[in-house]
Amino acid sequence: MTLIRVYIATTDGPAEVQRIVEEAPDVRSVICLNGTAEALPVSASYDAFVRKPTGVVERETGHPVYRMDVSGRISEGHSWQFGVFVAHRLHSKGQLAFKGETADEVWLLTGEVDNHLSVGSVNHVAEKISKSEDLINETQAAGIPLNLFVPHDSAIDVGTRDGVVVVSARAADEPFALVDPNPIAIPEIASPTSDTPGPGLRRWVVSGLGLVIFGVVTLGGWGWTEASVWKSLAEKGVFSRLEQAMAESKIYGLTSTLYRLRGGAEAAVSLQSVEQRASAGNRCRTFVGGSGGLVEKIITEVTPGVLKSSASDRLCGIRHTVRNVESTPVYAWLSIVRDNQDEMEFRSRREKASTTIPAGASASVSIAFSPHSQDVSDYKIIIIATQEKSEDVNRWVDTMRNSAASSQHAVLDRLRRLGIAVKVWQHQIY
Amino acid sequence: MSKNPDIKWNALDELEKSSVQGVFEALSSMDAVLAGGAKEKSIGFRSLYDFATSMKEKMPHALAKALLQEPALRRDLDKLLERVSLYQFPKVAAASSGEATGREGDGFSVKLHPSKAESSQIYILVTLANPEAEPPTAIFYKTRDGEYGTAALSSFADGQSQLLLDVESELVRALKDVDAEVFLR
Repeated sequence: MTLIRVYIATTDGPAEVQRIVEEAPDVRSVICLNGTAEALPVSASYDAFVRKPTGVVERETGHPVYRMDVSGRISEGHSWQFGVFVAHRLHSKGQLAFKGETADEVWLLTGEVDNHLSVGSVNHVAEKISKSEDLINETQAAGIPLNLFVPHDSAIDVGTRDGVVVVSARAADEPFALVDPNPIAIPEIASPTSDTPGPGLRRWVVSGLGLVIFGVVTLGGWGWTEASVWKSLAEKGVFSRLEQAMAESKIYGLTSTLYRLRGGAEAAVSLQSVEQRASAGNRCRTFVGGSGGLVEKIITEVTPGVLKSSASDRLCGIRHTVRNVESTPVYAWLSIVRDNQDEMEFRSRREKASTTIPAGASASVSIAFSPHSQDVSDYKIIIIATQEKSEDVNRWVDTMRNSAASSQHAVLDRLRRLGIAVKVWQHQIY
Repeated sequence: MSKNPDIKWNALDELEKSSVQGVFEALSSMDAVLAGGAKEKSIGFRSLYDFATSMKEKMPHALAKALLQEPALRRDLDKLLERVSLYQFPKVAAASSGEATGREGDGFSVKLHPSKAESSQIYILVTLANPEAEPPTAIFYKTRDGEYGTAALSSFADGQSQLLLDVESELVRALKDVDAEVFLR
């Protein structure tokens, strides 16, 4: 796993994010100087940036209070937000290099981040880069790649530099495309297992029933044609148009049945989850840099949709793998959400990732748990799969963020109505 | 103990504060004369006033020494702190550990929260019962040995101000000591 050192570009020079540690919810988040008790004046703004509802960090990590140590003073203003957000995201993935740890890459950032994770322009970008000359030279001399992230609107102020990758960002999560170009990695291409009943059986059922349906459609003539249109819309991923067509249908019940018998928009996928646990006497941190092995164990499904509970002790991570059991590529959205009874925090704490998975291949998302705290919670693993990538589904999935549980369930129901595969597993960490 | 709500130091304008300073200075001088120590006294009321109304976190050594030596000066400072403070916390009962975990009072509380991240550091949370109330700007203490100290409070957000200090700092020790007096100004 790549360890990344984060620097916040300031007009006084770059400030290294030395560490991030969870604090008790009773207190407020602080940014301290060099591990001392000196809380920087920007701490109040940092607390607001972390804590819900104004903050975005708690939304990402599920924890409301942090202490961050930095190597230099950060003045008021908001240009520290991009670096702080990215540092938190990396920390939650176990990829933030703490002070003294060997980093594989250095990231230098400046920019504001709003509640929608858009990166806004900031002033004095050229001056901040100029003040980072020493860091850039030292990093280059050490042979460590350095990426400079600036707001898209401010990129013109930066120019080019040998050996420095300048990335103009519109969204705060864009830097992670460098670490993991496809949010879901595709580690292997494997043949679908022969005992997979999904697509073959379904096609047989469709074929058999198709004759019966053909008779019905011949009589009516209309439903079949309409179902074909629906199917075509689903195959193109234009689900908002499909939804409109469904709403306008005069024979919804018949067409809907025909559409579903033809598979709707479903794509068959399976899930395998694996615990990654430090061996007795070791701590997770030992393994974050990939310097050692983890004891892996498959989490079995005790009943359909319920994974066997996992103890939090020495639990360093969980790898969720989605397998495409279709004979054609599928597009899948994988989300791991903390599941409170009253609230389902979408993207909270964990990941949302989406990608195309080739036929028979699998794709994984690994979740790292903080070595500093035990993560005890109930989670839901949600997989949404379609035959084609769909901007409509992307947009609907995004609306689930920060929504009440009822709204989130409404989105899932909406997807199901459109014939999209929605699978949910529960998993408890105790 | 609650103070007269009609007299709040922070509500006074500069002219009024200056007038109060003059009155206290005169009273202090009179005390010194009555005590017969006027000619030896190098610390005047202005020093007390500066300490009680400024944000200087470290009391000047000469003032600290004089306070330890002169009961009258301590009385003056006590009176002054009572006058300029928004609130003086009542005595507190010790926890099972023998140490206080903060102070509770009418409209204000001060709580100590050990840091999970740094065991050598501790958070001090000052909370207003009414977030719309006038917030204090400094916290003062007087130890059982007659030593005084102060710390500026950070700005309040949602009725709370937070300090992060070393556990061995004077203010933290005073807050843990049930015999220490604590004021908010």
